[in-house]
Amino acid sequence: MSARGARSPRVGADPLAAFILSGLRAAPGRALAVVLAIAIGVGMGLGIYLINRTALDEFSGAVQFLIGEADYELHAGRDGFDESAWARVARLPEVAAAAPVVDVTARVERKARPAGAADASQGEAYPERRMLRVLGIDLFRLARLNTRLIPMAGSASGAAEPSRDSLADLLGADTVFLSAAALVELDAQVGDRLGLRVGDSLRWLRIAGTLPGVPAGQRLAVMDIAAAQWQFDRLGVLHRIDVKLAQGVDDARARRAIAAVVPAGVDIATAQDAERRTSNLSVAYRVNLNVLALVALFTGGFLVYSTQSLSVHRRRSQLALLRTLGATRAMTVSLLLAEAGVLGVAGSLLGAMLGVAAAAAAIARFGGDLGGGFFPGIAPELSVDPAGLVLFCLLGVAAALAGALLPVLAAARVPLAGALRAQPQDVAERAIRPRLVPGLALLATAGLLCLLPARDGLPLAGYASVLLLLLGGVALTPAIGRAVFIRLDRIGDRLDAPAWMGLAVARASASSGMTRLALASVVASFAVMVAMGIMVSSFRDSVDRWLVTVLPADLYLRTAAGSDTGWLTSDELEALRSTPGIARVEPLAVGTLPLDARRPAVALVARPIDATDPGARLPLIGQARPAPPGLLPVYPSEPMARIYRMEVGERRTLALGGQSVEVFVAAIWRDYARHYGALAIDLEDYRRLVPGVRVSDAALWLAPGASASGVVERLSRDLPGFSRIEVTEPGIIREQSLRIFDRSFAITYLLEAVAVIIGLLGVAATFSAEALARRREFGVQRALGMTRGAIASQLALEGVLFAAVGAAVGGAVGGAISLLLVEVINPQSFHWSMDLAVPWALLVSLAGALVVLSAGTAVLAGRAAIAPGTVGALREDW
Amino acid sequence: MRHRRARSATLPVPSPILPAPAPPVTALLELVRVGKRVGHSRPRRLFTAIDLRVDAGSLLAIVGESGCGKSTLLNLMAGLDRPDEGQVVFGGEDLAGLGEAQAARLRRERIGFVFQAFHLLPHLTLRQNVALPLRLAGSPSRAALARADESLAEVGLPGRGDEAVAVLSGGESQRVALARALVHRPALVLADEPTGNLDPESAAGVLALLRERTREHGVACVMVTHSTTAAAIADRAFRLGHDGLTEVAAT
Repeated sequence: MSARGARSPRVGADPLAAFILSGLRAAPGRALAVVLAIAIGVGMGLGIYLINRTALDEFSGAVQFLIGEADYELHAGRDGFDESAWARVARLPEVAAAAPVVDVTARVERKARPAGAADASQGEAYPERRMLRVLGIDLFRLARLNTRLIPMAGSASGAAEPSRDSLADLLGADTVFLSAAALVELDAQVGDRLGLRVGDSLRWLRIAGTLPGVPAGQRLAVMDIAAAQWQFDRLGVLHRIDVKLAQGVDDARARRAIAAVVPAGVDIATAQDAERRTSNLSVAYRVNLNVLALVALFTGGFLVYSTQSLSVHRRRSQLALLRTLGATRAMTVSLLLAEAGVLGVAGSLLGAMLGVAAAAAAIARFGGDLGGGFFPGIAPELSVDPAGLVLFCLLGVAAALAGALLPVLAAARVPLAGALRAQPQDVAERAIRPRLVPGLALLATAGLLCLLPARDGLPLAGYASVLLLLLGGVALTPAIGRAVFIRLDRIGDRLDAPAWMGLAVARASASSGMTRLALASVVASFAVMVAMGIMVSSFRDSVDRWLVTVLPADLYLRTAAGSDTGWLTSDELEALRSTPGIARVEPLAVGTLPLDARRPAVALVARPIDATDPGARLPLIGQARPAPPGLLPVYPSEPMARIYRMEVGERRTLALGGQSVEVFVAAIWRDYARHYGALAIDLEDYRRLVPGVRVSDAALWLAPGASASGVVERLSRDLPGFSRIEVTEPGIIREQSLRIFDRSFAITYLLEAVAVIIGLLGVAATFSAEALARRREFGVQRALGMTRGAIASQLALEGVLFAAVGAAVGGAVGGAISLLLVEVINPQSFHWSMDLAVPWALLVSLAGALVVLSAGTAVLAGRAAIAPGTVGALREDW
Repeated sequence: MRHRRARSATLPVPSPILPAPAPPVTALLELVRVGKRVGHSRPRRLFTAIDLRVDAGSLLAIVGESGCGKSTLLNLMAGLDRPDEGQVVFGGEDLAGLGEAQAARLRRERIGFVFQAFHLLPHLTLRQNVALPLRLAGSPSRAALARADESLAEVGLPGRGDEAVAVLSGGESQRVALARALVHRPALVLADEPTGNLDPESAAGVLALLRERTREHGVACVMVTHSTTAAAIADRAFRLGHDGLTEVAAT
């Protein structure tokens, strides 16, 4: 009778419940490990889900709010379109109301209290970059479509009396109304003046009131449309027309009528389209993060599998007893699944708490997109979605049950014929004959699935393929392990190795099927480690090389990143060119090109591109082709080419500058900055189509002998308005980009750590159970003269052998999964490709660490079985 | 003496001339020409042509050398294993015709088990161990636990239901196992070397209890044992050999 029997049992409890609990109490360490593994998976999954959901809800709410009751939103990217379109749309019989909107995001540089003069030299400068989205609206027309945008003169609280000339404020040329969140963000109040950067000048606007209808958390300003056009140098330009259809007009007819009167390139989007566009912007990012979190849950499931295998292995005589006493297979399966279910529920509840806490902390620290930049201008508060909570808890329980299912089913098949024998350990273990066919079939199916295309922009078949690869590798492990160990045993026979070595190899080759199956957690965890390691390394390496190619100049200059109102004037460009030390200046303009109402607009990048050598400025994929005479050469990025199915040498018609232009796809280039696509075009070509193109960035090449710091110093001295310009060296941009990259992928390092722990727990679980069952074997060995040190060495070598096989199979499976991630899942999710870069040193170190730690774990787990005179104190736990 | 009986399952067709015979007393358990082989690649005959009738309330002992198939014979009687030849008929029903669930139901409702190694679940109290068959049979937990206390009292362990298995002596463990075997009032108790792990004094106590309780409740019992002392308490004793089952004097 083991010492654990002396623990006081639960008095009066139901025997069946007590049987379930006894399985958990017999090995609390293992139970705790399973609970933690499930909790980590559920916590990560739920945390990421809640963060994304919160941010997306807020953003969708903002989109809905801005559209109001309009049926359509007509828009055409950052450059906008001619305002004459509004009159034509408003006159259509299909249209009941049409409201024009100017939509700009400007950088707020200074703030002045009412007493201060509206002078750029006065007021207080914001130490950090502050952006403000300003909507120029036609108050009287918009009132019919979106009452929540109607401003209120004076403060929202009513503390200040509304100005006597409220109407003048509403239509004022220099007045603006801010939402509560914008006032907080800018630390301003009604009556303050804000200095907004527009080109090379600062425009002062007075905060005349608030926007009481704007939902909390949305930073927004509203002003009269004519004033906005004038203040932001957008005379004659609209960015949007919100349209309410006349009653009874159907969608197709309305779209036809509107399309006939708006310039080319103006998109007709419904509220649903706009929402979908927002969702599409980040869907791949969100889904990939969720899948990564589920991988943690999946590897947790493997730990459940290993521990449950060992648990039923250890209790097989008890299970046989239950069956003998009349429990059916179904009853036995139910009891054991209930045991796994208890662990799953405990892990899920703990994980739910972890997930909510982590999501709250992450949103508070990094915002709704974890710094990814997908949801700008939104400061969400965590909203816990009960359905999501339940879903992830169910997933946790499902992982525990799925992990336990195979061992439980095997336990229910324990042959009862031996159950009445004298000694419980004599109950025969059902021999598990390693089979190749299921594993090979899983691998073959995985191979076929990875050939399938993405569905709704998501690589669902690719994910399934990863899952099958992992399961296939695990299924093949027993057969591979057996083959390797038997060969080693034969080699060992021919060598004059120490006895403990021979015993270790012989033991490994004769190990039970259960032990080899318990390798599953080692294989799964190492495969996850290798796959993540190779994928991240390949991506990072490709991004690094891409950065080097796209940043060929010595200095980069940019005006108010992210704003629509920061640009370099022609005088400033000229001044740059004539600055001593600067050999060449290449300006760059960035616009947007909406191509599909349901997708984010493609970025339009206009820069000098030599049509005879586009590869000098763009990191091309494949060969470029010269454009036929009369056709405009364009260069879609890889994501754009994949999303819109563009090929080199193809002719397309695109709406550029309000007109339909036939273009020639001259080359495709690699771009990791915009996964929704970018179109590069020569700046001069673009200027011919859009005469008023504004340059926001410039690349500077230094003259021989000139230093970057010297040039920057000279510019700061000589260039007017230098304060609004950011000058950066490519090395710093590269460093910042890689830092952002590393932060984005930090979660994968966490996953790798989880995988290592799970792998080692698997080794510990296997060896603690095995070593205990081998007490008599070790006793005989010691009686025959083997020292305890030699037995410890034998255990260590067994740990090394098992971990080495696990690492080898896991490495191969992980390599295959990384290929899938690099060649299938990433291109299908983000529409970009990367070059495979295997971090050999890292992988070999990880494998080495796993092997060494396994050896240590094996000795540690088996120490009780080889300790002198402690038979009575032996514990099966670790 | 070679023990053979007519197959009661194949009764003669009643003759219209002769008066109808009195209805036979149906055996609780009957083995008819039962044979068993072991091993897959090179099967070896363990025993063959075993005929045995177990009537309600009788106590039978089966003795034999190690490896002669005593435990296998018990497995066949419990429906845990299937014969390669012949029939095992329990309560008039051929066990070969029972599905897995039906066989399990038969065991939990009509058979009790006593093992050499006791097979008490170490993390359950004595009461929980004894109540287990009742719970498996679907009895409510409270009633099952109360009945387990009664059963423990019947084997001389009153008021000890809350104790842990680990504190028991061998003799006490086997008493608990006996309480478990009888708690659901089975028709048959199958005992596999019930005294094999006990000292002579404890063994005598357990055997006396087994005899007394089975008789008191009218429960049939088949016990396999090495011990001729144990076999001596049986109504009838048999020796199992490769050539079959031979009845020997119980004393």
